[in-house]
Amino acid sequence: MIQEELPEELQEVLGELINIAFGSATATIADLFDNFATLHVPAISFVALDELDTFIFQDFNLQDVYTTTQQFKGRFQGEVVFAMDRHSARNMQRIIFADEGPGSQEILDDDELKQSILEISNILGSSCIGKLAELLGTNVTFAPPSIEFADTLTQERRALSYRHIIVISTVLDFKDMEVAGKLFIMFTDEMFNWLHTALNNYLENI
Amino acid sequence: MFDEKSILNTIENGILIVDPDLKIIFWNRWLALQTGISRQEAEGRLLSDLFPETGFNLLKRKVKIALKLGSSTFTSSSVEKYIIPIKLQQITKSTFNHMRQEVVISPLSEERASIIIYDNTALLEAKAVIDENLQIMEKQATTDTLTGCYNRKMFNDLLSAEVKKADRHSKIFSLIIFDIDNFKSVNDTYGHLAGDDVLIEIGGLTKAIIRQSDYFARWGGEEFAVLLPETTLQGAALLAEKIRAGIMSHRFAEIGNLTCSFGVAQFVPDEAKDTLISNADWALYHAKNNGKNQVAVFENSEIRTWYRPDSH
Amino acid sequence: MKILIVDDSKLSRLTILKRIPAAIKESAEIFQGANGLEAVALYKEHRPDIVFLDLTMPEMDGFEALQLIRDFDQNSWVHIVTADIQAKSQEKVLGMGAISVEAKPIAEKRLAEIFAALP
Ligand SMILES: [Mg+2]
Repeated sequence: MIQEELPEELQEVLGELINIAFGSATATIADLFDNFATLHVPAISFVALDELDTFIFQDFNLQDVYTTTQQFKGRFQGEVVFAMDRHSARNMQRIIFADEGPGSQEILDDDELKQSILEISNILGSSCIGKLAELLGTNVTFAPPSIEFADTLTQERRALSYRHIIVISTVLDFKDMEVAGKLFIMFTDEMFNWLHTALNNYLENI
Repeated sequence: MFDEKSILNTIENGILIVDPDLKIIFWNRWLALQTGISRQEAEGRLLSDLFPETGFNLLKRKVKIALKLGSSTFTSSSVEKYIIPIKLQQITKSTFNHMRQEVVISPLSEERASIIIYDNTALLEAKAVIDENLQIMEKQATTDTLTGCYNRKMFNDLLSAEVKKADRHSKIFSLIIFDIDNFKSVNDTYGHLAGDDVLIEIGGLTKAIIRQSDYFARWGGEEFAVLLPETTLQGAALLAEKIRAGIMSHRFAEIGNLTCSFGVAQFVPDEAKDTLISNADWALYHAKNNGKNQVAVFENSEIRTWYRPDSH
Repeated sequence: MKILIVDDSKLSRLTILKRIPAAIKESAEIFQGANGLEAVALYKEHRPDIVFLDLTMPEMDGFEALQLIRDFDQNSWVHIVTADIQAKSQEKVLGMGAISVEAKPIAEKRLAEIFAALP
């Protein structure tokens, strides 16, 4: 049986687990770059692959979106895609490169921008997925991430059998600087069912 | 019995173990061979001392993150190019000066991280060749090989996109179709090569006259088309007249003087793309029958002559 | 004993509730709130012996609620249970007089220690 959607109480469980995972990701970033972020509850939604583009582009301008993608493997496996616009990427870049010597904040070259995007997606992906897996009693390994552009996102994924996508709208609310993005966790029917069971177990064994 | 660590020396990848300051704790054989720096020389020293020319801020940060996260971090050869500079030998005839590297940084303990370096040079070289070929193929698929302007297929696509834009955002645009007068006799008298030269020259003349935002294509044998976004019929007719005058006053090598006839139409909201084409075509037909070397426009379901040199 | 648990997530409240040592739970009166406003109101009404307070909440967050509770009662005994494990967040709430900062989800063993340390 394919679960089209998680029952509400399990969505709540997932929501809180992602809240915890995102908290640890934020702390990693804030502590690493000696910054502080006001934590917000990440908004979570479920979308089908067909709706993904609409979902991404209602908030982003197509020309402006960077996406990175990273596969994770283990008993819980799938792919995590992180999308952010240029404005947020620039802010992330300023935060990362703030402590790398005088003037470095002004070097806004493209490679540095891409590095920043890879960095934040690596951290968010690893801590969110890693922590989520840990909370659900398993662990995962990650393949190297790659950076791409969003207009091909759906097209390329269509060939794969990802039927379920959890969208986490993330905001890293640093002082005077906001880094907003969307984290898409994509998985198959089989993994969706695994998640369903794992969340159930979690709830029963609190 | 064997030392498990010795496996690290048989692997064809670079492996090193560092502390957060990038002091080298372990340096495998592959690295020694590739860099010419032996294990004894490397271990106990800072990476930045071995390669004073290279910045290691990025690697330092990645190590810090991996240790903090408790999971791996990565660098990508498409972004960072390399982490440890290894000059490629010239015999490999590479397009790159340095080995392109993909690097995985993993935490081993609180103060130790392993860095595994994969040589991605061959892959990226192959990718560069493919990318280049793809670009050439894309160009070939969209351009007319003789004149270098867009081909009919591409122009059709551009036209369709413009129609969509016009319908969605109520934008206006116009179309010019023009044709070389008596081109058949050029071919018959001077040969096809001379005919080809004429097509190339007309392509060049037109490109110099149209605006940056206009699209220009070879529509058929001796027929050309110009798509003019956000341009009224009047604007398009004026531009057509400019092209007409430009061609008429040009002296073509071998052949001397030549003229062209022009049909112009503006897109009417909600009409089909083909209707626009046939409207412009109809105007062109009128210009031809009315004595050639002139601009005719389609307006309110009627054709009228916009400009004919001898009418003044 | 009066216990106040405040968190916008039902699951988080349930986690704490379930993991409170059985011996204490039996004789305790437990109040629950879902945001900072409720935390302050419930505190003033019931004067609980111990508070478990989340930081990230709608209406009023835990930072503000902690401040108001501390202003109201210098002897309040508040443990922060949060997903916000940033070093600077911890410093801030400890500076405001929180007893400890616990990362979510809080372990059963840790809760037992917390109750054992209660004055
Ligand atoms: Mg909360």
